[in-house]
Amino acid sequence: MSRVFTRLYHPNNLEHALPKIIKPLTYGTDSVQFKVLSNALNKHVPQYGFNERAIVQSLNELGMGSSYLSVLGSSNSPSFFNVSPSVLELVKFHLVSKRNQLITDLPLDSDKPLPDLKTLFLQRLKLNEHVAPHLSQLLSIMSVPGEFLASTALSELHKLTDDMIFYSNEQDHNDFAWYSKRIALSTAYVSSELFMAQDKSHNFQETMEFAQSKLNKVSQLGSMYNNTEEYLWFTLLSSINLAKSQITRG
Amino acid sequence: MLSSRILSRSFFASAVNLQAKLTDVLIVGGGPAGLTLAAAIKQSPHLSDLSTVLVDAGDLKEKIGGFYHDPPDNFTNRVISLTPQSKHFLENTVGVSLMEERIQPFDGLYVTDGCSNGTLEMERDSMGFMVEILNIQSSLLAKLRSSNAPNLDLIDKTKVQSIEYEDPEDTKSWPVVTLDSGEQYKTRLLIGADGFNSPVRKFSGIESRGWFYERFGVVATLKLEYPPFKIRGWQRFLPTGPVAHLPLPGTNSTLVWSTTEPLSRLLLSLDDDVFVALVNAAFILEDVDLEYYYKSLQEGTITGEELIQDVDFRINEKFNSFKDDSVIDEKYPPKVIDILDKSRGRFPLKLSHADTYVAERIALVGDAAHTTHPLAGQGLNMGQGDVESLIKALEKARQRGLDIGSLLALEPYWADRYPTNNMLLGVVDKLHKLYSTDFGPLVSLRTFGLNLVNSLQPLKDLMVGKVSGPSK
Repeated sequence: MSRVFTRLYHPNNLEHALPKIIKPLTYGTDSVQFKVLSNALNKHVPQYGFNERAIVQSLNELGMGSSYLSVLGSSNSPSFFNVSPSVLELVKFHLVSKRNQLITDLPLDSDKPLPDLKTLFLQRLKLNEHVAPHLSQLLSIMSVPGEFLASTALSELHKLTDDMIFYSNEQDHNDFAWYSKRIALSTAYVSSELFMAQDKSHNFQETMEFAQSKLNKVSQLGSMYNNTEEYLWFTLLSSINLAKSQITRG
Repeated sequence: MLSSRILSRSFFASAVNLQAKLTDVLIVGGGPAGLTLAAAIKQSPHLSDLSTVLVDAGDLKEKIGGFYHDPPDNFTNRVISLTPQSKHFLENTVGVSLMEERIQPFDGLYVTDGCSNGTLEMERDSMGFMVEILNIQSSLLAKLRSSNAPNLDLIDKTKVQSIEYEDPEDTKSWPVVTLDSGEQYKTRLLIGADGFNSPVRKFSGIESRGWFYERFGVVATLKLEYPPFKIRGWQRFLPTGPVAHLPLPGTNSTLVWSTTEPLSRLLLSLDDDVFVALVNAAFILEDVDLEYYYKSLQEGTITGEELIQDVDFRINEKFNSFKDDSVIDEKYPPKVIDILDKSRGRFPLKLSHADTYVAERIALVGDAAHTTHPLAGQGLNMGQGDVESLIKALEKARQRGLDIGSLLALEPYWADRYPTNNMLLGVVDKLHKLYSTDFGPLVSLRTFGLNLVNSLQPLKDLMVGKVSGPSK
């Protein structure tokens, strides 16, 4: 009880409600930006794609003027080769909110087992379904060389694969395999998204099959990696033992 | 003077060790390696006076020993191939008379690739001998009993409870072995012949390295339609693992089928007649056919009856494609018509190799030191080689007046056997890796290699010589 009544010298979590920020977004879930962008993403992007029109439609629907566009994109530096900062913000919002959505329903506090990597991987792909026709547009925005690629697109991809491994029952490693596994999974994810951009099958069944085969390859690669490491270590040690055994001959 | 020394010793020695019996050699494990070692010690002119104790958890004296005088009509499913050197060592050096009527010498091997038409045919009179492990064990027990060796204690149905050093601080002191009967033995030399999970190796702190192959060996005793035209071993390398069909006397034969874990469970769960059909299929039909059978059986989309008919149909189709029927006897093993009831079993396959075989007052032999894939039939023979080498090292130590438990006396054994075993483990491991894939380019490469070896007689002689000894 006393903690509640104690006033602390430094600003403290106990005294200030923290805004519900999903990093690296700079605004909370009840901010205007969040409302505009999530409305745009859910309602207008499926129709118009990732462009200013979708955002303007969302602004109009919420009764705001199109001048808000410049405010929305204020955290992104303007890029000469890429789309406008507000669209970059929309793309960033898509990446961050979908990644966050993936882990919000997980039984983290209970004793229930975590899902396996495949489930999370396919679940994340399913979250793309409503923007699937515009995936190639999205991927091209993300792959334009520049600040956005380095600081948002790639870092979001790595955070996504990191989350998938961390929040699944997948075994993690604390050696070089940590990197190899994430890189392999990122590659599998990007190629599955590229496949999805062109997929016309019902319920994206072919994408799911493609993703599963990619994942199997990743795990095959993993076991190859482990076997090779094990084999080299065994060979090294048995060579040392061989030498040792012959040294005893004197 | 003397009495005061005895007094002071008993004063300092711990209470446990006062009742401990003294022995020169204590062998843990009564498998082929342990029993051979005990018999060889008693047979050796230099070592026979060493007091020897052998401890085993199983029923050695009655169940295994009784096999020699009152063998069952049928063959048991644990059969191994004994090389001529191992047989020579057992019969001439150790002086064992094996049950000859239950041994089948074979005159060659016919190795095929399950993914291609690669073939290797090796011929040599009495290239190896198919022997039941029980035959070896019971013959050794009979030898030990008949020679009525003094200073030999066979303790069966007893487990080793713990092993500790006499002085826990000093790893050069004698090991004290406590049995679950309450007896204690203080031994000059402790031998671990206690298999893969060797308690002696754990006590000694020697690391063993290796891996599981994620394959299981399925064994069974087969009944053939007629005695084989050529008495030889048949081996086919399928991508799931090699399947081998090896002759036993008369119309008997033994099967070792290494395969993946789920498939080994499937093979064990099948009805006898369905299993027989699959064994015949494994040697004659294509790998894709087998995969289809596995899949349909696992999904339950095929009944046993349908499978048997389908296998018969496809085998006949294959046989009809040959112009000359004599090719069939040449290329395929005789047809299996039945398996012995409840003779199917399975065991996991692994590779392991201990860093060293010896420590102060400790030596490891057989599976305690190394385990291997059964595809070359070398596991038991490597153990026999270990025993032969260890006996030589002990004899030499004895002649020179060394303490037989000292590292100095034991090291020559390690130096002698490590390179040989390392080489055999490596070759078998590489063969397993080479044949466990159906990757196209590799298949054609290995087929080319196998056919090339098949056409080079001197190279084949060299290979057979490595395994079965120089030709007579």
